[in-house]
Amino acid sequence: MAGGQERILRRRIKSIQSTKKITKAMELIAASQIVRAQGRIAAARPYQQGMARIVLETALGDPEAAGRLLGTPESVAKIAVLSVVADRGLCGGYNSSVLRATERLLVGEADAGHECRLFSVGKKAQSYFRYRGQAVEQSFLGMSERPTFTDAREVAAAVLTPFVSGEVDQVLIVSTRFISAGTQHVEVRQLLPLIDPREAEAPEAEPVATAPPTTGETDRPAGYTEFEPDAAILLESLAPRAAETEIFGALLEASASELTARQRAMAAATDNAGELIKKYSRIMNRARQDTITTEIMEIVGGAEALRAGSEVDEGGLIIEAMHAISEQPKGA
Amino acid sequence: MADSNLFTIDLVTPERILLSGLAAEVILRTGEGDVTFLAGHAPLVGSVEAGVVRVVRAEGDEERVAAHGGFVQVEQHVPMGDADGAGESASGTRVTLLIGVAELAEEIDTERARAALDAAEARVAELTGSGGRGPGTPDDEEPDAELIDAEAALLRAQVRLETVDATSAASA
Repeated sequence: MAGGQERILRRRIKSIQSTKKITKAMELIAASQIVRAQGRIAAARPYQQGMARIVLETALGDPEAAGRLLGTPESVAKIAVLSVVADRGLCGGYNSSVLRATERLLVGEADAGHECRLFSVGKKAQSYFRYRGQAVEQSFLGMSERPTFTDAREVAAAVLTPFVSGEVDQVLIVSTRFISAGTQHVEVRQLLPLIDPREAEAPEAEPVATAPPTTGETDRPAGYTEFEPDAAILLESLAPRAAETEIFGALLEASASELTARQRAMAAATDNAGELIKKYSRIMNRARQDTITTEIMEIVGGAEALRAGSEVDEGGLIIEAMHAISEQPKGA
Repeated sequence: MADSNLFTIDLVTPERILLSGLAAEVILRTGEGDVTFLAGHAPLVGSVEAGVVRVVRAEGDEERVAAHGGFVQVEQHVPMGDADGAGESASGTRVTLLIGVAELAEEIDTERARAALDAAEARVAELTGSGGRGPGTPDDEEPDAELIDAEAALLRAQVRLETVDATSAASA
């Protein structure tokens, strides 16, 4: 009966060990992918910076046209919200923190009397909102871990079209910013109208996507640069492209954040598994020791009983009993 | 200020820097026609149409890129050592091309592009054909979107082939 407990523990340890192997493998995979994801963020930066420079230049060229497409809209009635999460779980609080932020945003906007249209990237958003009865207009799957620019374009086409056609006044994105390998945080940002680069001169919250323009360019007189076509027309075609770039950047950062969160979660799971194994091994060893002790007690008890029955040489009996114990196969 | 005839060029796509360094001449297609940029060009922001972008290097070599639409910015007096430090030897002009989708000539799969061209041509012909037969169809919108897609695919294939053909002609 005591041996039964031991067997159960042994089985449990074995199962934890294999779980540990899996979580360890996932941790390593995530770790190796983080490096690649970070590389992709870095590779996308020149385009984002170039885009920010062009938008700034064009906005300076035609401040009037810039009014409609840049800055915070004065009156907002309808909003499109894009929520970016992962397709898979096993990444700690990564998904839930974005989803909760999205829900908070939606509730807040609804209270303010704004109508929201929700778009999402990632399977987890789809299931989360379906469960809560929140309609998702369009959901994009299969791109959260390794987004390409084509993916970003697809998302952008769906999310930005309502703005271009005037159906919504503002497009917001809820996603995780990848500040560094150690820091990521959920952020709600405005995609369209574009964040005015003239106002966002020193944006501490925007160190990545819209890099602050180099100082030499801001104090240049307006009307210095030629536009082909007109700045106003150019800005019309530029705004969706710039927002698309923003989305791509956000997707890349989200994927790096997802991988980081997953690595961290899996490292914690691996540690936890190790601890459990240690704990259960201890219990198992004690159980085994208990069985052995009980057996010794039984044998000694038996010997005592025999000795009480017939007056034989007691030294010999004890020695015989000891022999019996030492000959017992270990662990039986 | 080693050579005032050279300028910095960066051809950037969202996923990587396709081309970067010093150039003597950049020829591309804008909304207003083909334009050649030389060192000292006035500051400009413009749109780039789908077409071949030709970059003439300092040594006279020409590189070709299939560009599927984007933007170009020309800046003057870019601070030295800006961007990648290449400004050191250039004239202070910097041409930045932001192209959503672009391929270097040597990366283009000619066979695939040709197949894509045929497929796109067939598709366009089919769509315009059916559109002509039934002008009053209720779902007028949908074939339109499809046609736009097909025409875009056709244009992409054409640009790719143009880029490759010209390359092989130049090397022959």
